[in-house]
Amino acid sequence: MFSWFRVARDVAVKDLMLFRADWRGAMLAFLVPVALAALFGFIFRNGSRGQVERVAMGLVVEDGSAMCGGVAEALRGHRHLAVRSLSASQIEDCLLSQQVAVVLILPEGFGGGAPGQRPRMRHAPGCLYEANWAAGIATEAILREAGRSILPQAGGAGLVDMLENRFGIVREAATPADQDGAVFGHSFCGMTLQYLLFMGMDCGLLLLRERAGGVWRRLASSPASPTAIIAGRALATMVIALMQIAFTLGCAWLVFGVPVKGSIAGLILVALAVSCLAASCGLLVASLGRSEGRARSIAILVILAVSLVGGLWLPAFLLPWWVRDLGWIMPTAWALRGLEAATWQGAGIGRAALCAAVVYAYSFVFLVVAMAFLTRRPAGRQPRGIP
Amino acid sequence: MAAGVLSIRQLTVWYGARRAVDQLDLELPAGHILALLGPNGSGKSTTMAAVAGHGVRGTGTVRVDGVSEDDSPAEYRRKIGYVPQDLAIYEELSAFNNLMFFGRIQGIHGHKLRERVADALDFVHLTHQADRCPSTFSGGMKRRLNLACALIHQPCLMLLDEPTVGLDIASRDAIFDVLRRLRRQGVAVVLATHHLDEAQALCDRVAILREGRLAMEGTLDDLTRQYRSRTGYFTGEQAPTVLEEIMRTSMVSDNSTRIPPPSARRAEAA
Repeated sequence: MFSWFRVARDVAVKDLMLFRADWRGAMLAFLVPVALAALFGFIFRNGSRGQVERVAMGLVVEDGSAMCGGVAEALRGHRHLAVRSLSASQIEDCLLSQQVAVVLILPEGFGGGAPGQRPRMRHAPGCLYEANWAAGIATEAILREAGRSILPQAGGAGLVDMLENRFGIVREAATPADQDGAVFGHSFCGMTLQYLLFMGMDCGLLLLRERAGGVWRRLASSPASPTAIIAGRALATMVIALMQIAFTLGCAWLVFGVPVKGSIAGLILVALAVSCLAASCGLLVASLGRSEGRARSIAILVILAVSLVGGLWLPAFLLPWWVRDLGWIMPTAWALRGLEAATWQGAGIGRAALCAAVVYAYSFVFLVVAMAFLTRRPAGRQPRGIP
Repeated sequence: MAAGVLSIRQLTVWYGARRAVDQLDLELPAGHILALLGPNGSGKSTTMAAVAGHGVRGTGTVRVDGVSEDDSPAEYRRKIGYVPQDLAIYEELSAFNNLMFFGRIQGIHGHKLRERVADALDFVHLTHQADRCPSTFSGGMKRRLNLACALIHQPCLMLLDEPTVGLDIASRDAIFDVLRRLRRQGVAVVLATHHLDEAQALCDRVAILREGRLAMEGTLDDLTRQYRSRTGYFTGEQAPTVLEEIMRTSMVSDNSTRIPPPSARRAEAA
């Protein structure tokens, strides 16, 4: 048993030396996830700072009433809308050419309360989210103006302001002083995980290449146990993954202000689990792939899919409900939850430990399957001339 | 013949319905080099894989220095140095680190390992290149390092699968020199090759495999005498067909062939 561990250690040390030997590649391996995470963070940070893209709205005012004037003025002044006036004949052209995302039509007689004259909103194909957003803003503006004009005897504008002050919603973030930390926290955790899966895939492909070549046959004719050799590869992948997690989260903390507010022990547990996941995924790729080309294509597809569904790219709440449900069976989703809990979300060790346990379980299953396949198939390629 | 370092008895290996090796008997004493000759698909590589312990199992027994793989896999494998046809070294690690790694995998550690690495480098004349990576080596130097990695644990049987593929004559002679010195040290060597001239230059014994069976085995002198007495003469219409059949089933590689194929001669004449 002692020699088994010694072989695993020797193989791991050799793999780490190979990793270090290509120092340019090693540097890129550390810098690329930071660059990717920073890019994603900058893209999504604007939203959290209130610098959202304004919805392009076309406004068709067919009614000359004071109320409609007030609504139009309120919409033009709204910081989340870019309003341009349109005539009725321009509506279809502007929507189809996507010059505007939505068009609000205030029909003739609407301000006077004519029956059946309700405002209508049309939206460009694919702009459902913008339409919902604009409808909410427009409804708020219309109700405010309607209140002013319909209830003059009850105080009019004063009453509306009083109602707004009393019942209006006050919005605040869960971590008010730390919006950037949250946005960059998500992107750094997500991109780190995605990159580690790709790194694991590369390690698996390297193993697949070795199995087809002379090195593996030489190792197979040595007294070293095949399981020890494979475990050594997994160990090296884990060590590299841990270094990458430390480097990426260190950059996130020092440069982008992502706080590590959760349990340090929880963070270590999750980081170890994530590195296990990367290593076991790599071995799974090596064990199931019959050729390097096929294994690479399938692995890329699977990694991109589990990254998207696991919420590594976009926060889960932006995804459709069925994708969010699917996330519960994805190891990537659990790994992300664990990393986020231990860093910017500031959760205790319990939540991180639960996520880590799920990820360990997945890693264990992947490892068992990979070992079974890798040690069952004959090492190296078949001798020449054998059908 | 003295008790063999390598002793193969009735080895049969199946691949599906096909017998890749069929009731093979071979004996190789210490300090001898055996050339394993045969055309593609004759069972050379399968025999090498079965002896090297690459998970190729069949019936019969293979013993190296009296030990079979079933008795003690680790001890059996420590007695074998295997040199695959492909380079089995890490191009990004220095020659020294390559040898250190393969030595550790063989279970050698500490001061003893360093001594063995120094000896192996010296044996293949790479002592002054120890700190260089094989990626900067010539083809011949890489092959010598490939060989040194199999020598690090001082095996009593060396298995070499076409160790001179793609080498120029000087590099090939350097490999031959290493193998001759191994023979002087009492190591038994099995050399799988397509080249009769390699067998002639280096080997004490030759075994020719055909369709998994041992077609003939003995010293080169024995085989030459045997073939000389079987010289045939073919005339008339049957000659090209017979020659084509001989060349199709021959173990002789193209660059050793003296007679161009009849089809080529016909094309040339046309």
